[in-house]
Amino acid sequence: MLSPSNCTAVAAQERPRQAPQQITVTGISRQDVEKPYRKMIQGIEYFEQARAALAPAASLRFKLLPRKPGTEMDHIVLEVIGSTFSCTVPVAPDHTFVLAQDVKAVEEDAVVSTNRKRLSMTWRADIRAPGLPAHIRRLGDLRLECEVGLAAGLVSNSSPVGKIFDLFTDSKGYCHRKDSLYLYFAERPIFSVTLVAGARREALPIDRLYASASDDPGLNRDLPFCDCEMLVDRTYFLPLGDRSWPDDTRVEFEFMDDGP
Amino acid sequence: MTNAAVRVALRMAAFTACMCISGCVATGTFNPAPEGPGTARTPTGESPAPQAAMNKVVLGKSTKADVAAALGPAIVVSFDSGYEVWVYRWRGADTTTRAATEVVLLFDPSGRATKARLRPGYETPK
Repeated sequence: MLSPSNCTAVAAQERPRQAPQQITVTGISRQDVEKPYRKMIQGIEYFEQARAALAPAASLRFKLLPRKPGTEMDHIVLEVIGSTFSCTVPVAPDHTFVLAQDVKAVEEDAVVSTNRKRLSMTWRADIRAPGLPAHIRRLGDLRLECEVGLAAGLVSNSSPVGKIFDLFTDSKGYCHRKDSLYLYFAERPIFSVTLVAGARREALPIDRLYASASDDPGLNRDLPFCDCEMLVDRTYFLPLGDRSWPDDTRVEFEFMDDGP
Repeated sequence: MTNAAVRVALRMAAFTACMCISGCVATGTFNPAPEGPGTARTPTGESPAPQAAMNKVVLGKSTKADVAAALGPAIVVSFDSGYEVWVYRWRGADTTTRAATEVVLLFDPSGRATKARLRPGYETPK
């Protein structure tokens, strides 16, 4: 349930009839960064179904990331807004949050909305097994991030023909393809990403880092339409569908600002 | 063309870009052009081995100009932070980037090399 202490009924905000009318329109698309609540709940439900196979020890949070230059990432106000209520969702200092399941929000087809302009931020699932150091992720967790991300409709494209795009990406099967290009973002700018499974080690080639900037001369032109625009130096692709890499594979990062 | 039509055209361009970012780039192959950027060449025109190329770089000291003079033009990825990644690549058993050997250099905003790594090529599964 969404916490009642964080919720406000829209009716309680109504002013007396004699006062100048101010109308708050909620429950429909605004020009803010927002996602459909129902869709995000689908992502949570998918996580609950799939976690045992891919990421049994992990927990799910969602994460907000900057998409446009100058986006202020502190003091984000995140709300679930229905037609008769709104609830504030706490955002952690690392810009992650947990979305609670709520029947009323589903019934009212609520939106999950921030106080930032549309396309200024993007969203990802953040699925982590406990106990790993900051420079190591687990491949199974990241595989599930892709599937949950697509189930929840988190990848933000500026294309208004996104419905068609969704047909392409809104299939968890995309995450099982060897050539899938789901955009992952590390915590800091990366210098290398290495897969480690037992004695097997393999560094990703350069075209799997930085949104393929090394091999895509048109990337600068395309960047404004990619939700990686502000995060190119943190971006990497993984061989998600290559099952020769087990889910327990460690994904090790060397960051640009690490010591030599 | 009406404004709406222009908008649609732009949006279609945006859509195409998104599709490419998600599905077209990073085909996993490259064109190992002998004279193109990313093919290491010494000033005498020889092709150094990857480790020999690495040995030309002194971390904390070598500048971009030093490296360009020693190894020729690299594939350069520049970031807004001022950092740059330079890449030299050697073809492997096939033209996949997975099979290629890479020397990857990081230059900090002052223009000096601060990191270097040699990535070996890996056999492409049949």
